[in-house]
Amino acid sequence: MSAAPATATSSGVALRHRVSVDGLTASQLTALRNATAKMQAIGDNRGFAALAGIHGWPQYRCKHSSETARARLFLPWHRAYLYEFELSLYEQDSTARLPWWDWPASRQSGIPAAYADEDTDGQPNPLAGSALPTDIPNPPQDWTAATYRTPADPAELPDAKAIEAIIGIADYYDFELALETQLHNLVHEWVGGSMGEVNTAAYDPLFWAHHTMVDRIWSLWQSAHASPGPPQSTFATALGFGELTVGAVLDTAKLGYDYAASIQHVAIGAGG
Amino acid sequence: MDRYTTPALDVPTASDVYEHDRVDLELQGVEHSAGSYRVRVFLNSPEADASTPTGGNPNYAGSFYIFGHGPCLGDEGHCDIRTGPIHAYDLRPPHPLTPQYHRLPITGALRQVADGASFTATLVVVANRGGQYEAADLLAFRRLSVVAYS
Repeated sequence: MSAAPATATSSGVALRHRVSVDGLTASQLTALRNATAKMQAIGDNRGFAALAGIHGWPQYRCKHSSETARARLFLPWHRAYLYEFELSLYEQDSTARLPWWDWPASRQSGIPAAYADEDTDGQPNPLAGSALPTDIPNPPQDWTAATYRTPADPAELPDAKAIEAIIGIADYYDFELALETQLHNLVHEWVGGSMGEVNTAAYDPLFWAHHTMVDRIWSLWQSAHASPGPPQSTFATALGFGELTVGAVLDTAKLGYDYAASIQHVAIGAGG
Repeated sequence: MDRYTTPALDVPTASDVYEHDRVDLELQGVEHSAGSYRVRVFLNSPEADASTPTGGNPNYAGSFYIFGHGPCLGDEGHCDIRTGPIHAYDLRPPHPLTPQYHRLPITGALRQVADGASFTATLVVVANRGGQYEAADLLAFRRLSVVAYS
């Protein structure tokens, strides 16, 4: 698999490269943790909980499978959602970006240490979990104050062959349905706990790395098939994030990012 | 239910089965109002249960994965499914708990185990490991279909 080649945005500003969790440099991981912790501390609409609450409790605006298999917005809606979340990260730390969880690379050790470690440098790791809402009308008896996980056997995570097979599906809606109901759902169920329920999934910081992987697979499909995916008849459909429509999220470069397999920087001179 | 075996299903045009590009098992009207779970599908294995091996088992066709909503957190009526527009100007999306559609390609397994004109599919629920849900309470669907493409 190869990622789409990077291009400059129309504004001439360099694209932000989303890399794998395991590919984050120490400073990139620190930036992600700092930005996440700051978002978790914000109680208004810019905060982590407010954005998590768009997907499940209390807003339930997420788009998943429905009875109408040909009018689905799973991939465009989640791309717009990630875009909004990454902008909020950026506002807290301009070097923070969303990484993607490379599921096949986790088939031996499970959830990446960046998200699994409870503490980092003697402080709670903000990527290990997040507070759950307390002001709900009908909390179940086992409601917890914070997110939790019950991961299964790492070997059950999707392997590269499964991903390649789904990228090979030519019809966009067949591809989207397989990506959602096979790989995406599998990983939500595999993580279990808060990630295993729509109610609470987006409150787990791992949700964002998981969905960035889903978005990356769509990007790889777009490159492999030289097609944006959704039919033109859907392009004007609003996604509920500002002015974003299906047509506006088809090209990741127009949203200012791409997916890089690896990056090397060479500093030239002071401040390079 | 935690386990379901279909009656005998026709192998799609038995003499042409090897010419089909794809045979899918479809579930329509799938409930997803509890936790997440997986449904393992075994062909011609009516005795299969949650302990039946999947690796190396030619009768194992794959799994459905259901991303569950979780328990109702809202006030009374919050999770009552609104079945359609309440009037001509209601442009809201479907209720989040609207039953779902799922599809599993079973082409390879069917080719390996179908030795006659019919076959059965046994669906086995494997529940979320958190322990909040009983497997018997999870799986419910309106219709199962076998769809062949050539």
